[in-house]
Amino acid sequence: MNFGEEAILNLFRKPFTDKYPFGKKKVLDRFRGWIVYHPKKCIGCKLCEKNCPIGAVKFHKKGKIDFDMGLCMLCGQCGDVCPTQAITYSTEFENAKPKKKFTAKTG
Amino acid sequence: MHDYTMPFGPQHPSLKEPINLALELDGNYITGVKMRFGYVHRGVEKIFEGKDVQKVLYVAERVCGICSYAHSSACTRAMEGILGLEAPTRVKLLRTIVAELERLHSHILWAGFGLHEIGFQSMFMLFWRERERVLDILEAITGGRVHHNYNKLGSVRYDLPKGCEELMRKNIAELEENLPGLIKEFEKNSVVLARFKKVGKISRKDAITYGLVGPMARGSGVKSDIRKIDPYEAYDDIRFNEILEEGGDAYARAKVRLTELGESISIIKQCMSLLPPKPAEKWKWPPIKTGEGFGRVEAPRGEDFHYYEIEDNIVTRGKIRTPTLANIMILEKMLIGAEIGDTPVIVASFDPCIGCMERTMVIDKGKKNWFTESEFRRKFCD
Amino acid sequence: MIEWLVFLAVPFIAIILDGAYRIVVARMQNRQGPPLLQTFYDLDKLWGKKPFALQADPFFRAAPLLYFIATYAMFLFVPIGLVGFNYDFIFLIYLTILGSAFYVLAGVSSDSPYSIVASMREMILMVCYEITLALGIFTMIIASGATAFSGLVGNPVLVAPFAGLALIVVVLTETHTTPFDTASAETEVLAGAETEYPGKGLFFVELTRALIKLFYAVLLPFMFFGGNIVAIVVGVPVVYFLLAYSKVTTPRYRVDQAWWVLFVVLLVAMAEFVRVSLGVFV
Repeated sequence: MNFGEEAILNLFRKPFTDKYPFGKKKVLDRFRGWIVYHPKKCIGCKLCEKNCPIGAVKFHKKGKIDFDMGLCMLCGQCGDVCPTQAITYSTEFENAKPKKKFTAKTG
Repeated sequence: MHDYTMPFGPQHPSLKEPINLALELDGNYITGVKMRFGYVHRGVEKIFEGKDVQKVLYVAERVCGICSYAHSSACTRAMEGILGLEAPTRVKLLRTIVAELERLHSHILWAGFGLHEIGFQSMFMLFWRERERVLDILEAITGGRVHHNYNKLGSVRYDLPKGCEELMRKNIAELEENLPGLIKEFEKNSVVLARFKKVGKISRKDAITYGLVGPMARGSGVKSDIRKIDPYEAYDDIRFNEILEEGGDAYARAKVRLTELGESISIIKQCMSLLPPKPAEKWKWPPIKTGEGFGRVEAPRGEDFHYYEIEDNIVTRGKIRTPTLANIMILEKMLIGAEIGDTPVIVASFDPCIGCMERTMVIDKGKKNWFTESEFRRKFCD
Repeated sequence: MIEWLVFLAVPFIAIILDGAYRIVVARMQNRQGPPLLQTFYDLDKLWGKKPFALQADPFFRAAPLLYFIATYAMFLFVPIGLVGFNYDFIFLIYLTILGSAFYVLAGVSSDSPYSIVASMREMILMVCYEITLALGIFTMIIASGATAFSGLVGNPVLVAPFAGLALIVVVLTETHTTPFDTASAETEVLAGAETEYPGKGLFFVELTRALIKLFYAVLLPFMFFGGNIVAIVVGVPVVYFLLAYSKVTTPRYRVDQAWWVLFVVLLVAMAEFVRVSLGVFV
């Protein structure tokens, strides 16, 4: 149909805009949000520290790992190589936090 | 009339990324152009050195935001050639589906932005409404809207999730319903034809002399599609056409990009029907080798070329040549003699992706020249 | 007394109607659009900004304020004639040219090349559309046989319909609506003549833009249907809708293409003026 007719028909349709932040935003399951670290499942193999492309993972001892979320680019490599699934990803996307809380979540 | 210089400068509403063209004007006509680049140079080729083969795959993807999967594909092709790996059929088809989805979203982005340059704000909003449907499919398959991180050496990261086929079918049906109306409006509107036709003309001889790639060359009648010349992934088994147009002006290049949208949708449908039923295996650690190799793919803007040297699976030198770097030199020839009002149309019609393009080239005449960083800065950055 | 109250309420009516115009444009593009009072919030923000470095040129500082005063004074004649005398439509035409001249002055006295180019474009188009505006108004007044705005009766548009079409094209150009908004083309010359203005200067320019839309939305039904109050009240929303429809469905011409189209419109207006004043086919 003609573009002029479509413009007038659009006046009577629901707008396509998402009403975020005054409504919920739909996020799909596989979306890579923030890192979640489970210290009880960790076996201390150091594979995550060796395979991070930019060096954002610092291993101290089994069950205590520091993730520098300022450097992290959320590629998913550390979660892929961990043999016991101790690193997973949540679907949170509102990740602007003050500096003290800018670390990975522990679960 | 005064002679003055108008900076089509680093900050401008019609540019996505910063470049600096100093237009020397005589009234309303352009008589000379001085081009300066280098505002988003990040030193990516230096970052590649010293990284493992698997890690470089993820850093190479972050060279660009729009054509990110093309860089990842080129790196995968290069590394699999050096290490001697071959992916199974289902993996090749999945990689083709994601590559064609990325071509769709990049061309729709160009259509919206190219029509916003001439003041048609409604087309910008309506084309980008369609782009949201493509990005939803990409988020369902790979987990990211802009950077996908989907390839591994010899395999992919995950297979298709449950419920993905219905989402793909629904969204592609909506795309097929809405896009032809918008494309027809582009072809029939008389003001669009008056602004786009006979602007920025490139003859066929110039396209071969300057070495243009991608839709810039195909708009002047030169065949240049890597998917036909040197097929990779699953493009051997799929039937599709290479779109060529005579004319060589901005209208022909726009028409090439808009017709490729239909071709991409047909390729995705053929891939979905050819998928074998057994799901793909999980990825494995690659073997350790030394050598050098290259890989080239058809990015949405043309031919993308990666070259790597590795030693015991550690990269010692990586080099990238992106399609915008091959096309940039003809900009000066197209701009001289045009009017100021033509400049946004010309810059938009060759679809610049400056973040990919920034590389340093030092030309030395005869003897070897090694620069340290502080010398380079003192000599070339004023 | 009522007329003076209406005259003082004109900027507020203009702000609310401008907000409604933006919502209609957004809904036609299938998005949600701003709240109704958005223009008021924008102007409020602009008034409170501190200027940090301005040119010392007196023309640069005074031009937006003069532009606002020249446009506001046009409301003294139309629709309710607070100031009416014989042949007062000629004075109104001088006021419209004065308003456009102050806009060009604001651009030419700035330091940046973008404003100078935008002012040059406005001057190129002014050659055509100001004459068309004058001829159109003269044709309508002669067609109803009056000598002042207060004597306008009947339906002049039925006598001279092509002059009405020429006036609609002029209204599209004066209110900076595509396809003729070359002087403030956002992707070529940044923001037009007001590129260098911070704070209060931009406040006056934005307010004047809203006032110009209201003025031409009132002028067109007034000229077409001869001072009928019902026609004005129905006609103002129709003209705003026409401006919104034109902005949504058309792109923008280059400056030489726009000049040729406006030149053809000028010739049509000239032919209509000659025809009506000689009394042929009336």
